[in-house]
This record gives sequence, C-alpha cells and structure tokens, in this order.
Amino acid sequence: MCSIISIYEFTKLRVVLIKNQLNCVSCTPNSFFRRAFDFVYTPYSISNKRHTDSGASKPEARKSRSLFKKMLDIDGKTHEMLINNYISNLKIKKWESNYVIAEKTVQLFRHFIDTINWSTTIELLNQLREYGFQITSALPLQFIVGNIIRRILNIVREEYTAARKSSEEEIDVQDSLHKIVTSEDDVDDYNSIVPELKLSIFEHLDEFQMEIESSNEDISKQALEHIHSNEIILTVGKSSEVEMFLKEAAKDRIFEVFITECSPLNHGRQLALNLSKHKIQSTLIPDSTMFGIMSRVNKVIIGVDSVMANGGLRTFNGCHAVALAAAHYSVPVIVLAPMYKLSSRYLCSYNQDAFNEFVSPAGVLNYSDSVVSKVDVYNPTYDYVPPENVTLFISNNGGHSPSYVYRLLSEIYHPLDYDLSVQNK
Amino acid sequence: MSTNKVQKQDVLQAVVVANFFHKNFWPAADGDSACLLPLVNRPLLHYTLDMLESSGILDVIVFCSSGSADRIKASVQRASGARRLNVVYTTSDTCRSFGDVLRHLDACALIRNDFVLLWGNVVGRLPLLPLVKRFKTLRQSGDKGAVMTIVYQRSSDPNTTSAADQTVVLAADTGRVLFHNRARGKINLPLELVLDNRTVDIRRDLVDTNVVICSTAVPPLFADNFDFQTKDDFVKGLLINEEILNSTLYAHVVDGDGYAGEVFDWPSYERVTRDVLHRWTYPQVPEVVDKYSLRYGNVYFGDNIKLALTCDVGNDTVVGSDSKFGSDTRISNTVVGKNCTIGNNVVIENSYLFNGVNVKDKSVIRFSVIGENCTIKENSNISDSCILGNGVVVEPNTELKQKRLLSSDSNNKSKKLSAKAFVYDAENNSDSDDDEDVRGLTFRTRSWSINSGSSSDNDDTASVAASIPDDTCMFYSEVVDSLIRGFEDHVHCDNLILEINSSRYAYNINYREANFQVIRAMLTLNSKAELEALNQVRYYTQLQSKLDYFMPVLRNYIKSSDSCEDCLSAIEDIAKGEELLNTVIVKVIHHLYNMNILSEESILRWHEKEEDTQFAKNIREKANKLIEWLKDAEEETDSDEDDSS
Repeated sequence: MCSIISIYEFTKLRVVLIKNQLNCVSCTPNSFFRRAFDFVYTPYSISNKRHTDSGASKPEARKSRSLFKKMLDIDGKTHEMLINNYISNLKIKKWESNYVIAEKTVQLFRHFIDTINWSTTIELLNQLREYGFQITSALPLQFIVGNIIRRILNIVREEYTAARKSSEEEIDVQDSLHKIVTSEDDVDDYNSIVPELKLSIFEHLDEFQMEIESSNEDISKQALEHIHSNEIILTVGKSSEVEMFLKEAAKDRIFEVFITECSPLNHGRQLALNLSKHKIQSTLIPDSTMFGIMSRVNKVIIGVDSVMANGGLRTFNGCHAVALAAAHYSVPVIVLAPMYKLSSRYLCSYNQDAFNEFVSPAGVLNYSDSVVSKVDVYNPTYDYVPPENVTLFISNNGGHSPSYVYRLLSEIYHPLDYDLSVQNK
Repeated sequence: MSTNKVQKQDVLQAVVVANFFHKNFWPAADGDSACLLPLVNRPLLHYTLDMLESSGILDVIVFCSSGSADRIKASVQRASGARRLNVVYTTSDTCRSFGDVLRHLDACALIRNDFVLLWGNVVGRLPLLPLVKRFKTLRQSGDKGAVMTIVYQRSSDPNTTSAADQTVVLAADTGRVLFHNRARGKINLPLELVLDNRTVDIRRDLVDTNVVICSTAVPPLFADNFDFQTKDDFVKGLLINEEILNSTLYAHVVDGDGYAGEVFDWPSYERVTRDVLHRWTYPQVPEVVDKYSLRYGNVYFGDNIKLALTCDVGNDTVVGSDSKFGSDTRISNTVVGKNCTIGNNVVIENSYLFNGVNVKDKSVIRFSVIGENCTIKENSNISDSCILGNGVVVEPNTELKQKRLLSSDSNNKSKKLSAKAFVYDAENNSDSDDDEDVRGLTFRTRSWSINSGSSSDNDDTASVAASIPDDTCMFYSEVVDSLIRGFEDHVHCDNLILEINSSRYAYNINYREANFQVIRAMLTLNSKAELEALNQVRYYTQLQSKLDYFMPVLRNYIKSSDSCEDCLSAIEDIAKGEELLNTVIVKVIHHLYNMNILSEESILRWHEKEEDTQFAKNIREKANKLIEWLKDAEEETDSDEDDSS
C-alpha cells in the first residue's frame, strides 16, 4: 500500500510540474527543455494525469494505479520505437564509427533515465537493464553498445551509493581492489528514495560524455612518450585514434609510418592520404609485404574495435598476422583503446556465435566471376589477437598491460551488470 | 518555409509492384501474393522494402491486387525495416499486366517526382540514391528526353541463368540503351548503331534486376501507348519510335558496387537463396535481419532449435527457430522454416521447407518445395522438383516425382492421391521443359505461365514455332484471309490488291518479302480437309481456276525479274510442304509462263541455280522437260530473229 501511495504522490507531483511548467524555477534551461520534450512525447499521459488530478482522493488510489500502469505502457511504446529506430540504424550501418555509436547510446539512455517513471533506483535499474538486454541481444556484434550500457548502469549505482552515504566518506572513482572486496558488506537493495538522484546522475553522465568526447585527445596527449625521433611505425588500416596519435606526435618528432592497405576494405589508403596531407612521411604497403618490412619497424601501433576481458583484441582483419610478425621480430605492439572499448566478453572458440561479422564477399571476389556458384567466399571483418601478442594498451587514463584489463573492467562496470538478462532483486 | 518547400521537392518515391502477373510459383504461392513467398524464411517483399529503406527512400507506394491487399498489409506491418517507411497502398482489380499498373498509377496521379520502380521480388542491396541523383543531373544537363534508367546486373554464370538471353547495345560513353532484343541465337544489328556512335558495347551478360528509375513521363507514356504490356514492350516501343516519343533510355550495370537479384521462377529462387546464404546481399542476411546465428559453412541456426546428437547438418543450410530434428537425420543445401518437426533417419537435400512442415521418420526429400504446414508421413520419397502447396498431407510410403500437389481440389481437374493431396495435371505439362539447372533442380516453370503478359515466354514460343519473324507471320495470315474472302465473295481483284498493300504497310514488309508471301498464300488457300478429298487432277483444275481468278493480283506483284525469282522460290517452298502441289509443280510453272507472268530467263535461272538439298534437285529434275521445251522455243525464236535480221 505504501508503494501505491508513493507512486500516486509521484504522479501528482508531476502534474504540478506540468501546470507550472513556465515558472519551474529550479530547472536549468537544459533540463527544462528536456521536460518539455518529455511531455511532447507522452501526450496521452498528460491527459490521464490531468484526469487523476481532478478526481484526486485516496479511495481512487487503485484506479490511479491502473492508470499509471497504462501510462507506463504508452511510455514503453515510445521507448520501444526509439529502441527499434536505434537498432535499425546500427544494423544498416548508418553510424559507422564506434565513437558515434557510443555517443548515440549515451544520448538514448539519457533520454530513458529522464522519461522512465521511477521512484526507487531499483526500478530504474531494472528498466534500463531490460532495455539494455533488448538492445544487446538484437545487436550481438556491437560490443560497444553493451559497454556503454553497463557503464551507465554503473554510473546510476555509483551515484546512488554516493548519495546514500551522503558525503560521509569520499568515493574514489578508482577504488582499489582491496576496497571493492571489503565494501561488499553493505549490500544495498537500491530501494530507498534518494532526492536529487536524477540530477546527480545527469551530472555524472555529462562527465561520461565528456570523457568519450575527449578520449581520443587524451590518448594522443601520450604520443610523445611512445613515439621517438626517426622511428619507423607500422599501422594497419584506418583508425581515428591512431591518426590523431600520429598527428600529435608529428608536431614535435620526425618519424616514418608504414600503413598496410587492409584489404578488402582498403581503409589504409585513406589514412595514408590524411597523414601525407599532414606532412608525415608515410608509405602505403600491401598487406602481404608486411612481414618483409617488420624487421625494420620499431613499433606497431594499431587501433581496435574492442578489447576483450582477457586483454585480447577484436580488431580489423589482418591485425593478427601483423601481431604475429611483430612477435617474431620482438617489435612492441601498442594498442590505442579508449576506456569505452573495454568489453566484458571473452572469446571462447573461433566458432563462437557473434564474435565475427561476415560481410558481403563482394570485396574479395566479383559477383560476375563465373565461379561464384561453386565456391564459398568468406569476408570476415574482425581478427582476434590474443593478449600475449599485445605489449601495451594506451587508454585515456594512461597505459595498461593486457593482464591489467580485468582490473579496469571491475572498476568501470558493476559485476551485477555483466549479465543483463538476469533481473536483480 | 522555404526549406520546407525544398524538402517537398526532394521527396523520392518508390513504386513496388507486388503483383507478379504470373503463376510461376503456384501452388506454393498464388499469383496475387507471390511476393509473400518466403525466401530464407522471410517474405520476398520484406527484402525489397528493406532495400529501399536502407538506401534512404522513405515514401513507398505498393501496388497489389485487392484480393491480396489485406495479407500484404499485415505482412508489411510485421516487417522490421518497413516501420520507418511511409507506405501507401494502391489496389486495382482491372490490372492484368505491368503496363496496366503504370496506367493505373497515371490515373491515380500518385507520382510527383522521379521515382524508383521495382517489383516486389527484388532482393539485394543497391545504392539507389546515387543512381537517382545521376539520373536527375542527366536530365537537367545532358539529355532532357531521358525517361528511364534500367538497372542491370552482370550475370554470375552466363551458362545457367535463363534470364540472360537478351542482347543490349549501349553507347559506351553515356550508357544510353540503343538496342534491346530477347531473341536467342543470331541477331541482326542495324548499321546505324555503329555509325551514329563512336563506341558501343554489345552485351549479352546482363540480367534484369527489375529495378528501374523513371521520370514522371513514364506513366503518361504507358497511358498513351495502350499496347505496352510489359517493360520490354516499353523498351522496344521507345527504341523504335525514339524520335516521335522524344524519349531515351539509359542503363546502369551493377558490378561490384551492389547486388540485386530478381526472383521470378524456381531456378532464380534457388539462385537468389544461394546468394543470400553466401552473404552477397549483406546486410540482408539471416542473422542480421532475424535472430539467427551463423556457423561455419554458411549454416544458419535459429533460436530455440533442437538437433539430435547424431543429426548431420551440411553446408548452406538454414534451420528456422523452434524446429526439431530427430536422430540420424541428414540435411544439406536446404532451408527449413520455423516450427518444423523432422523425424529420425530423414534425408533432405536441396529443398525448401516452409514454416510448420512435419516430416516423419525415414522420409527422403530431394530438390523439392514443401509448402506451409504440410505433413509428410513415414517412408515417403519426394524428389525431382515436386512442389507441394500449403497443407498437403502425404500418406506413408508414397513416392512422388515431378508433381505438383494441392491440399484441396478446387476445380475437379486434379487427380486424388489421398484425402489431402491432389495432383495437378496441366495439359501442356510435357512440352517445353526448357529450364535445366546444372545441379538438377529442374522446376518446370515456363509451361505454367498462363498469362501472356510475360513477354519472354512469348518470344520463346515464337522462336520455336517458326523461324520467320513475327510481323511476316502476321502479314501472311492476313493475306490468306483476304484472298479466301476475295475468292468466296468474288471481290474485285483491285480491291484485294489495295487490301494486301495496306497490310503490307501495317506490318512493315518490304516489297520482295510481300511477293513471296502473296504467292505462298495463293498456293495454300485450300484447307487440309479439302485437299484430302481432291485427287491430283481435280486439285490442279481447282488451283488453276484460282490462279486465273487472282491473275490481276499476280500481275500486280510479279513484274520484274526479281519478283519472278521470289515467285519461283515461293512455289518451291510450298511444294516442299505439300505433296499434291509437288506433283503438279511443273504444270503450275508452265501455266504461269503461259500467262506471261513468269519470264523465260527467270525460269532458266531458277533451274540453273545450284541447290544442295535432295528436294531441290528433285524438283529441278522434274522441270527438265519444261526447260528443254523452253530452250527449244528460245532457239526457235532466236533463229527466227536471226532470219528476220
């Protein structure tokens, strides 16, 4: 009964907000706009709320509850539309780069946090997890989406515990392992009502968005520590992190870059063009000549699609061969990976579902070649590079060795969120 | 406001024709809703709509017959890609062909701008927006008369694709279509093609994709030319009357930058299915558009399937969600629908099982299509392109080969096999089995096209029936008609000449061809029955009377030595086919000589001409007497002349 009343009061509170939306002083312009946006999205719920307001009395609490449920449904529908839109955009590759995907995901979940009707944190978490599960199961290949969702869930949890402790003790973002282990004792059920939680979540989300935006910059700031004068660098294909990294280093140092074409997509050509425009001496080489060049190379610097939980890489096709050649000549392999590319997944077997993405064989073979009906052509997008072939990760927080990735994971994701399909109590 | 206007102008529409006007897929799907035929467990139409959506087209007009409209609407609503499309439906019951659809569109005035026109059976991924943009700039800057860009795909295997039997001549620099022909074998290209253009591409490796980009001028053109039934009619008509209609056609050949396949019969169904499983249509592949997981060897497993441990799943196989497979069952190259139950020891190869099929133990299915909710009981053997309609129940121990089965008997034409299985017998089932597939999937399809709308069929039969072109055939029959009527009604010969001449112009027959055909017609006026009743003598007298009657006509046509030659070759041609005429051929020639229609020289020249065939030699031997007599007469006249001079 208590919860019913609280929900009811909550709806009432919202009604007041609607009525006085123009003199809603406490709202920042931004959040005010967001609220207005929310109302545009849920025209039905507004009329419902007005209705309950007019006949507001305690015996009708049950009625209002059913209305509230209905309201949620309608809200859910608009969310469903948003999710479907988001999924289809990703499926048709409207957003190509991981950075854009990350930004869009944060925006989407920001909207969810804003529009889901929640009173306790557990409600919010469960709803977000449900959406997250929907999205990740529809897009098993997009690791980045799952990373962002887990990160946001962790932000909600962090903000909740921080508010609960109400600044009694400082919450360090980089908790030590010891602290995490020992702080398990006060298991919270996320059931208490925390005032101003939404605002603090949004503040934290803003920070997170900033982190994503500036991650490439933060990585490239470390360039001078890794690239020295007259070095020969080898890179594979095109990655925005690597491009920025090399450009930053070129401000102070003179070095030479070899770029493999990365067939069949041949992204490497674009990178070579961009670098040469930036007056960096660059040489484009076919993938096959990479081994011959490797003995002269001082460092291999590559980008990555996502970092697996064991420190292995899911990265562009062809990187594994490069990493093996580098291991043969003991050339260090440096991987530029912003924190949001850290994934909680492992590769268990090469025949694993949803690890690799096979695209159209058009790049490998022309359809008009008459052999097409008689051969199977595979055109995988990714390669798996095991952690032992990686020397160093450079993230926006600094350099880490592959064996340290698990530790980073436990810091940025909450262990309860690894599996989104299981509902928390 | 101004930006609003700009947006309105840029609306790009696509018209999807969801009615195929053929029954190639019957009985697995009927003609009206064949676009809902599942290809890799997904209706064909969904592929088409997804392709439009992913290429950025949002306004779609779907044409369907009113009978199937509800089903199509319901299906489109379930399609994931169509959610963001703005789909408008238009229906009509009077449309019998593709041309009618465009006339319908013209009447409804649904088209506001350049549009993409395609059938509901196109599977693939094509960057359509760049194509439309190119078409627009072409119209604005280069050729204002451009009305259509036809998208072709380079065929993967020219030997197996049955649709590749077309010749397209393109101007190499602009891609303009100059010539289009569907005939097999030898073709004649007009010389102007090469004279007017610096370089031309003559291509026989192109396959239709059924995607065209049209300007707003196309529906009115169809409305003006009511005889355009198909796209081929349109292309042909436009190319012939290029100057009059002031419109030109362009072609775009997809090679490397996309893939588009058209599903119009079972062999093409098999080909496109294979291409989908081999991921040429990416991102329209099972695990992206639906919940499947991809395994090595292009094997796709749906959600929640149950495979027995000893079950052997071969390459290129799809298993739909919630399906169950018993132990020791082998499947390969097969698409299995959702909710299927397959028993133990079953063998399925190169087949397509739609949703809800139930196959009991020890059955064998090869190269067949099994419709929705069919049940195949124990120990059955279904092979060699059997096609089972929806809901058929095959009794145990049945053996089926090359059969089409229905679950109910609607018109009492079918043979009853069991309570829920009726074999459909087509009258013309035995002939024209022209679709041979290398791997043995010989679904007989062409013989089923009852509708005459699909022109490729027409061309095929025409080319088999007679080696002469269509127009000449028509002219000939028309001449025969007028002559028969003229003889029976005693029409004056001058009028007959007028009539023949007008049909000569109508069918665009040249002078010599006309001579040939008129003589042929004249000699074959008697019907078969009449001929049998007549003996040799009476036949000749009757023929002679007819020839005498038509003498003015003959005189009109046979004037020069060239025409005499035509006349003689026509007589020879007819004699080859008719025994009776063969016996009196010399008499006929003699008679014509007497009537001063055939000249001496032409007969002699005809006789001297070297011929290879036995028949021609025989005739010339027969004519020896006549020739000798002629030569004698000539010498006499010569000597007479000598004397006189």
